[in-house]
Formats: sequence, structure tokens, C-alpha cells
Amino acid sequence: VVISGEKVHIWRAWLDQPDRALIRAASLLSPVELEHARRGSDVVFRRRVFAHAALREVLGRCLDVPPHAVRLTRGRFGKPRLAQFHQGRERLHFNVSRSGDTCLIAVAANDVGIDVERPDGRGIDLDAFATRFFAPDERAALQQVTGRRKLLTFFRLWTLKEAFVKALGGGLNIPLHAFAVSSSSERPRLTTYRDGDVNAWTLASPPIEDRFIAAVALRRSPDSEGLSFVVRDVEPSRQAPGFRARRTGGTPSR
Amino acid sequence: MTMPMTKRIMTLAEREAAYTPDPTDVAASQLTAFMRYCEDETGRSFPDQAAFYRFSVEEFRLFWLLLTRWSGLAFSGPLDPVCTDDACERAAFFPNLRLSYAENVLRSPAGADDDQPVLTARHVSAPTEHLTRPELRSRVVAFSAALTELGVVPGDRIVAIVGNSLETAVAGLASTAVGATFSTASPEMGVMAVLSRFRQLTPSILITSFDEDGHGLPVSWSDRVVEVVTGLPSLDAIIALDEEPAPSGIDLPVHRMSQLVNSHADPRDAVDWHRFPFNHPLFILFSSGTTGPPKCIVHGAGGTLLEHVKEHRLHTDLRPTDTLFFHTSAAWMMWNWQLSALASGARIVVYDGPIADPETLWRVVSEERVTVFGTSPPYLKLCQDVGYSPRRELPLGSLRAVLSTGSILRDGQYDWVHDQVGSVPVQSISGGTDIIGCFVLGSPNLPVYRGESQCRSLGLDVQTLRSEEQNGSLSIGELVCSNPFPSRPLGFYGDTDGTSFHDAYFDQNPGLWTHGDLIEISDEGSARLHGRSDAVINVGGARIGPAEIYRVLEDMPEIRDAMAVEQRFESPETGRIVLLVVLHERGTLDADFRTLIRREVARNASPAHVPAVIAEVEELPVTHSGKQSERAVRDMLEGIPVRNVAALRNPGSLAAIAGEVERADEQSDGQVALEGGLPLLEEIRDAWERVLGIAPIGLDDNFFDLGGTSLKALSVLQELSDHFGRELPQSTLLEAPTITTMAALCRDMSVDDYSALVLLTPGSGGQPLFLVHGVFGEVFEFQQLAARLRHEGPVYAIRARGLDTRQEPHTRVDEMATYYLEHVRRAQPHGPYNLIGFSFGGLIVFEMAQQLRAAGEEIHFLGLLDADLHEACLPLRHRLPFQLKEFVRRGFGAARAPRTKILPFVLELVKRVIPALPYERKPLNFPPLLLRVQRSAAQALKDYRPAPYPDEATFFRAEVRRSGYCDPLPVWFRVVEGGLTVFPVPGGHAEILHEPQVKELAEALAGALARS
Repeated sequence: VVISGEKVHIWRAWLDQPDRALIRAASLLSPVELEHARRGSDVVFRRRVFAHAALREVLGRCLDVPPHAVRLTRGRFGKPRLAQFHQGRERLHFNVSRSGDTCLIAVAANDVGIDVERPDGRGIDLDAFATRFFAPDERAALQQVTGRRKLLTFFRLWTLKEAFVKALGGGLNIPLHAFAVSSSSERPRLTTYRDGDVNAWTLASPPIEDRFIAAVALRRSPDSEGLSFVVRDVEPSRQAPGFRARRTGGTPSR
Repeated sequence: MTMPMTKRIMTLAEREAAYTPDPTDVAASQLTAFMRYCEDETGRSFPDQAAFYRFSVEEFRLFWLLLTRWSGLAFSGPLDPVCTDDACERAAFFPNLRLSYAENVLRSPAGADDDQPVLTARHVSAPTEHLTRPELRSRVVAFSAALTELGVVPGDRIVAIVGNSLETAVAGLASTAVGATFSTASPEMGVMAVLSRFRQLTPSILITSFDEDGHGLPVSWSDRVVEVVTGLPSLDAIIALDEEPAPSGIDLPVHRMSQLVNSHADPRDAVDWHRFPFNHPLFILFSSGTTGPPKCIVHGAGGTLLEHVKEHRLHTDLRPTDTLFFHTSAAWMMWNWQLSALASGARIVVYDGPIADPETLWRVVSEERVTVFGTSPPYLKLCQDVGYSPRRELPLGSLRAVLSTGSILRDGQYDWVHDQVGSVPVQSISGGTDIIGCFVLGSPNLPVYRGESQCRSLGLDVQTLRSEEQNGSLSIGELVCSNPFPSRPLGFYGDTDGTSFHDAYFDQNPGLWTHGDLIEISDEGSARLHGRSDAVINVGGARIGPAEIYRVLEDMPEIRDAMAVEQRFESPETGRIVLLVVLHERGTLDADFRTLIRREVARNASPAHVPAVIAEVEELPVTHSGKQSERAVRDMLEGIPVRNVAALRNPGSLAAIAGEVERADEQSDGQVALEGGLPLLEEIRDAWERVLGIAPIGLDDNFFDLGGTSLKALSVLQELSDHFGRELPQSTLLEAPTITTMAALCRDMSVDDYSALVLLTPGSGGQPLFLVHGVFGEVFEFQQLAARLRHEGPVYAIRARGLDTRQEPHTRVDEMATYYLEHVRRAQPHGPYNLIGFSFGGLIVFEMAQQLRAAGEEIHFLGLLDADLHEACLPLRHRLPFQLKEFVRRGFGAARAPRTKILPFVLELVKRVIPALPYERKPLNFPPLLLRVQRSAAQALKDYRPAPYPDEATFFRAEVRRSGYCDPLPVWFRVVEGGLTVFPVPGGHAEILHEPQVKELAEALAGALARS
């Protein structure tokens, strides 16, 4: 896989795999990753293992090395990045997001952030949440809608914001009200950014699956056309529901 | 907590048709032809479909009789009586008629071209297959002969775990041809789900495939097939649709469909179909309800066939020139529905692959020249959301109708189809597994209104049942069918006395089929569906049977009785689960018990089952027959009149329940709890447990290890900020990811708006340890070190001012030191102090130590973690070689660069030799607020000159040195006059704080602390 230009490569991985796959996946992880995974509860452990394994699978493909040979380290604020070991591949940027049993891995040639969420408003007072954490424009956008649309708008905004702060590399260390995104138009975008140039970033909400809302943020290179993305599965055979009997040799057919 | 209740006021009167049929099409429709036929036969006049519908339900016997004659179905025996009873529950249609479903589906209709394909199977990775009617027929005949030879007799149950392929159609038709019933499950279903359905049927044959790389199987299929086979002891044999070897562990005979078909092939295309009674069982479908295992719904051959022929020919106008593509799995009732379309002469297309992109199904529509395309609202929504326009991308000239079912189609989707697909009617059809057909659906003769189904199903007296108390302006009610209809199921398999069947459909409103949907019917006869009315809970689009919650609660001795209902707000998709519990005397529903319930439900059912509200009530409403009434509670919670109040034995219980739910709501909002003054730790724990949906949570469990996400972290902050009336910083949970540390942070917050101190680990007693931030000012990078240290006393981190927008960062080291000491002294008024600084923080702790000593305090430990110094501090004999080396390193690159680029490097050198000139390193890709702190820190670093320090210090030195940074050790050796101990630590500068190197650092640090 060649990672270049303004294209964000998004891989999907499913994290609800059986025990047998768990052992296989865990064998790909570094001891540090495995220990990090073990600190989680049972469910978190499994998901971390499958997510790490999927990340290694993907980066291995991009770097053309076996998954276990990918060397990862963390940046200053804990954002995982490729280790110095992979010299010359500094331009390979990636970011991972998990939600429930789904994991998305974004790979790009520039700083990239991704977020996926299942729109579940239980336990969140959307307006109060927005008042506290969102920018005024976003709050206003949210107030214009009600019901299901409000929930979806909230999650579109949230995933865009989360993807952006993840692309910056600081995560929640960046005040969420210091910038605003717009999800209403066809193209999501960064509308205000107190501390930087809104044109230095492109945002998108790639459709992943009906249950989920996802967003990516990419630092754009000068004179770029805009962001495009491609979504694929880490393991093509685990794509989506459906089942096919293999064609049989002896049966006549046209 | 109050949330607005659903407003269901619609104006059906002032609406504009989204599609109006062409009068010539109306004139040519089969519905019109049938209406004319009925006029001729009865001598009556049917000016429009509404009049004809009235006739079809008022004289349903005549209607079905005429339909059977008109449609030319193959049958034998007298048509009399048409129907044995006027009560839907007891009625049997055409008891003296005999027919074969397979014969009617497979026989060539008059005028059809037998050389044209009638079944087209599309695959993702294999070529498309086509079968003509004679080819399909001969395969079905051969396979049914094989089934008979395998010992299958009429009444046997054949089960299949299959995708929607050509072979599945053959298997299904052949099974019915020999009089066996055919039941399907899809391979994605869990083993337990499959067994809970199939085991009830004691099947003799399992049809499946062993293909491991079948699309979309998340787990090893061969493992699961062995489990399924083991769980079905009644099986005599397995028939594989493919040639893959059977997995080990199966000791039943395994036959291959291809071999069976080949060895039983009969070249003559003259079939002697065995005709069974009209009400011979045909398909058994499954419905997962509110109690007990899934219901096995038995559908009869004649009823299914007749209903489908009616829906296909009259409502969908399917004929031999049509191609129907209804995207469905083989386990959904729409599979049976689309299979029957062969009986109307239409060709069907099946597709067994995934929806890889929005174009997937439209491509099938375009390439196969599909005329009627069936799909679901989510797929249409997907296309709409990504801005995919089928009309722009593909030729869709053959398409004449789009059918949609499965969930409610929103108004805007009608417009989308019109704009992006073409001027074709959108026919929203709705019915269900229970009747293997539709209550409301399309019509070739009627206009389409947004959000509505065009009409009710002919012959079925579909009505809106409203409660008597209900305000007349509200037109929504329970969907009931008041007359007998042929596709009413024969019953539930295994329900010998019919009790379960009665309870499922006829108990609620005696004499009426109550379907469990909410419906609104316009004056014109079009209909709008409003979701489920029964106890099946729909949360976030997932259907949840409360039985699964009850099963979990059964194991709790404190609970005497329980009821879970869905409470909907605004729209059907944003419901929540309300759980009512009746406790035995010894039980109390306190916070602990609530969390226990939530945890057990999450663990044993699923997180989606976890109730949002748990309320304790005295009693649950029961009907006179002693059945709990979930719908009464639901109506009450939704603020609409309770429709079955007359049927309740204890209607008074409802008001009490309303009060309790409201109280529980307030509690879960936390206001009551706050006034009650729960201890801080419990307050936080409560918020965590609510947000994470698990309990109990230990005081030192890590938020993110428990599955916490950023959104959940902020939700916790949201709750707690409200409680404390103060803003907790956004990064709180990154810095304090345990309940204990968060409590400490919150306590700090309540003293000061902003505290430089962050408690990382609380310790068990002993002197505190202070860790001072690096050049970016943040401290959560100390998290791993603090965890590894296992320091006896509390470990505090000190972070920079200016990380939020309210304050400016410091630009001088001595100012930082003074400011931080104010905070340090709040936590530890007097020495001896343990101070450790990382990188730039080394300078700060050095200065803090100087200031503390000047104030007469004792320093127990001064640790410098790879502490940086500006190169200007270096003595000249060290500085010059460094600067020269840097010049060469950078200049070397410059020498190879074009000449014009050399100047910057010369300037760079000049800047470096003269430290007063500002210079900046390569800009970093960090958040601006951090960069602001970093710039201030860089300034402070450059300006600070360490003064001689008479005490001792310990230096932890990263073994991997960074290029471009000077080695500060010569300076530290000079200024630390009491003696500098140096420990090398493996790894680079930033890496020593992270796993795995942090382990080495923590060990070295703990050792040094212990020794000093």
C-alpha cells in the first residue's frame, strides 16, 4: 500500500473475535503493548489486543514488514507513532480509534486523527455538554435541531472535534472550545481556530457503517485539492454479513 | 429530569404526492384487471381502490375465492368452503383444496419464454449464474428426489444455515416439494441463537456449507457448525452446498448437493408434483419475543402462496416481464417473499455479498436490468449520507419501483429517491414474519405520499385501535386485523394447545389480530407506521427482548418481580430502558444494588440491555388474566392515555410507578445524591459507574482500562463539574485517571481555581514527592513513572501555568519556582522535600531547592531527570566544541544544498554563537496552548543560569543522546557542589518516562530515594 498525497487510508477491524483469534493476535503484540492491554478489564483487554494487532497488520502492510516487526513508540502526549527504527518512513502517520467492537485505523502522509463513535446519547445531556465543551457556533448548530437529529449532529460534531485534537497530537489537552467545526454543510470543515490556521486542516466524515459515525482530520499540504479517503477492512473476509456457498464443480450452470 | 414527550400530530390532509402514477399504467395494471374481473363476476362497481378494498374486507370470502380463480393457480379439490370461521384466530381457508407450493412457483406461466433466466445469482468473487425455469425446475425435482431417498417424509423439518444463493432457493423449494418444512438461519447468527431456534424443531436434515472463507464470517465457521450439529441430536444427515471437506467432529453422513442433484437428475421435464392440503406446513419462521425462547411460527403452503401472489401481482404488479431484486438474507422473511415472486412469472435476482459501498446494490439493479428493487431505509440513508447519486452514476432505465421495508422510511427519503434515483414510486411495505406478508404496502394505481405506505393489504381488515379515553385528535393506534386472512400462521411449532399462539396475537384484544405496531391511517387509506407498540424494546435501533433482562434478574433473590419497558422521547430511535423492580422485604434498592443490577445485566445480557433508570415499585400492573402489562406502563411513561386501562386489575399501581420513575430519574441526575452529601469518593465513583455502565469500580482502577473514552471522560467531568459548581479542566482524567486521584484533584479544585499540583498516586503515608513538568508544562507524561515508583507517600506532579487560556505562562524559572512553592507548601508546609524535575523541569526544581534552602528548609532529595540546560551555560571549552560540531552537522547539509541556501546556516551559526539573539528550533506539531507554554519555557531556559548549590543532587541520564542538544553534565558537575550522582538510564530523552524504559528509571529513582 502506498501512502501519499491527501488520501487517508482507513482500515476497519472487528474486535469481537473468538478466543482462538485472540491468541493469534496477542502473539503479534510487543510485551509493552500486551501489558498495557492486560491492565484493562476483560472486554478492554480483548479489544486492545485486537486493535493493536490490527494496527500492526496495517502498518506492516504499509511498511512491507511482518506485523510483529513494526516498531512503535509514543509521542510526547502518548500518541503512538512509528519508532525511529523505521528511518525514512517518518511521513507515515497513523491514528487509531475504537468504539465498541469496531476499530478504525487511519494512515496518511501527514498528521492525521480519527474518531469513531456509536451515537448513543444515554447519560449525556447534549446541550449542557455542548455548553461546557463546544464552541459557540457548534452549540448554535446543535440548538437548531431536536430528537434523533440532535443526537446525530452532536456526534458528528464530537467526532470531528475529537479527530482534530487527535490529529494535533494533544487529545483532550486541547480545549475543545478553542476551535469550531461545521458538520452541517456537505463538507465538514474547521471554521474557526483561535490558535492556528483553519486552512491548514481538512476534515471529513467517512461513512463507515450505519451504526457508527466517524470523522478524520488531516493536516493538508500546501496547494492540495482536498481530502479523499478509502475505506477497507483489515481482513477482507470479515467484511460484512453475507454468506456464499462456493460454486460446485459438478453442478451445471450457465 | 423532564424530557419532551413525543408529539404525534400529523396533518395528512394538506400533503402533496411525491409520485403520481401514469393513467395508462393504472389502466394496464393487474390490479385494474382484477377489479374489472371482480366487477364482471359480482355485477358490482368498484370506481376506485378504496371501494375495492372495502369490498375485499367486507366480503373477504368472495375476494379470496375470486383471486384464487383469477390467478390461475394449480390446485385440485373443491374451493368450498373458502373459510371455516369468522374469527381470525380459528378460521381455516380452503380446507378441501390441495396444492403444491413448489409446483406453482416453478411452473411456466402462459406466454413466458422458458429460454430466459428466471433466477440470477450474483456473487462478489464468482461469476454471475443464471438458471432458466426448466433448469431450476429440474434441479429442484432432482434434489427433492434425493431428499425422499434420504428418508424425508411430509411433515419433517429441514433446517438450513445458508446465505441467499441459488442453492438455497433450490434447497428451499425441494424441501417444500416433498412436504417438509424449510427453516433458515443466517451464518452470522451465534450458535446459541441458532440452537434456540432449530432445537425446538427436532430437524432431521441440516443444510449448510463448510466454506471457511464465506463472506463476512467473523469466526471460524467450521467450529460453529460442529457446535450446531452437536446441539441438534435429532439430525440424520447433513447436506453441504459446497465441496469443502466437513470439519472433524461431525460423525453424521455428509452429502453434497451437487452429487445428489447429479445422481437424481431426470432428463424428462414432466413432473408429478405431490399436492398437499392447503394448510400443510410450508415454512417455519422465528420471532424473538418478550418472554421465553423464540417462537417458531408455522406458515401454511396455501396461505403463503395466495398472500404472496396477491401482494406480487395486485400490489406490486409483478409479471413475467419483471425482474425483482429484493436484497435480503436467507433468514429474513423477505427471502420467502421474493422466492414466491417466481409464481407471478417474474425473474428474481439474489445477491449474497456484502454492501461494500453505496453503489453495490444499485450496480446489481443496473446490470441485471432490475425493474422492482427492494431494500431497506438504512441502505437508502447510506447512499444519501455519502452523497451518492445512483441516477448520475448508473443507467437505471429498467427500474420502475423501489420497495423498502425493515424500518420506517423517513419523509425525506422519498424525495431523495425521486431526485437521485428517478421518477419511480417508493413503496414502503410493512408486515412481518408473523404473517409472512404485509399489512400495508404499495399499489400501482395510487399516488405515493412522503412517509406513507400507499394502502392496506387487500382482503385484510387493517384498523387502528384507539383507546376510548384517547383524545379524538390523535389518530395513531394499535395495528389490528379484524378478519380472517389466509396467511395467518397455522400456529407455533410445539404449542400443542395454542396457548402461546393465542397469547401472542389474540389475548390483548379478543377477536382481533394485534400485531404490535403503531399505525396511523389517512382518510384516503394510506398509512404511516410509528414503531412497535408491544414490549419489545428498541434502543438505538436494536431490538431487545426484555426476557433477556428478566433472566438475569431471576438469579437475584432480593427481586420478587421486575418489568423492563422502553421509554421513548421525540423519536422511536432515542428510547431508553426503564426497569421497575418489586423487592422482597429484606431488599433495598440502594446505589450498590442498582450498580449490581446494571453490572449483571451488562455482563449476562449485553450493555445495550442495561437500564437507564431503575425504580423500586410496590406492584406492577397486571391484567385480569394475571398477565403483567408492559404496555400500560409504557403508555403511562410516554404520557399518552393508557390504552388497556380497563383490562387492568390494579390500575392504581400506575400512578405510583410514575412517581417512582420520576424520583429515580432525579436520583440518576444526581441532584438528590448531592444534597444528601455523599462523600467525594462515592460521588466520583457514582459518576464513573453511570458513565461507564459497569460497577463496582475500585478506587484505583484506571478509567481508560475500564473502557473509558474521551467522550465518556468528558461526560464524567460534565456531571462532576455540575456537582461542584466548578469547571474541571478538560484533561482531568488524563492526569487523574483513578477515582482516588480524581478526588484529590477535585479537592484541590475546590480550594483554588487552578492548581499547579496534580496528585498522581495517593500513597499510604510518608513524605510526598513532587515531580515538575518539562518544557511543555503538562504532567500526564509522569503517569507511568508514578505508577511504577510505588512511593510510600503521595506523588504530586506540578504543571505549568498557562495551559488553559485564562492565565499567561511564566517566562522565568525563578518565577515558576516561587509560584510552584506556594502550591507545594499547601500540600507539605515544611521539609524535608523530595523534588524531581524532568528535562527543563530539572532547572525548576534546582531553583526551587535553592529558594527552599534560602528559606531555611531541608531538601531530602533533588532529582534531575535528564535535565536540560541551555548551551550558553556551558563553559567556553565545552560550548565551542558543541557549537562547532553543530555547525559542521548542519553546515555539512548546507554544503550539499544549493548555494543560496547556505546563508541561513551561516545566520544560524551566528545566532548560536551569540546566545542573546533569539533562535528557535524546528517548530513542533503540538497544540498551540502547549506551544505557548513551550515558547515561554524555552525563553526561561535560555535566560536561566544555575547558581552554585551547596547540597547534593542525583542526575538520571538518558543513554541515547539527542543530536542538537548540548551535554549539560559539565555544568551540573560544576554547580552541584555537594556532589552529583549520575545514573545512566537506557533509552532516549523522552522515552525514559514511557514503557518499557520507565521501569528502569523508576527502579533507579526508587533506589536513589531510599539511599538518600
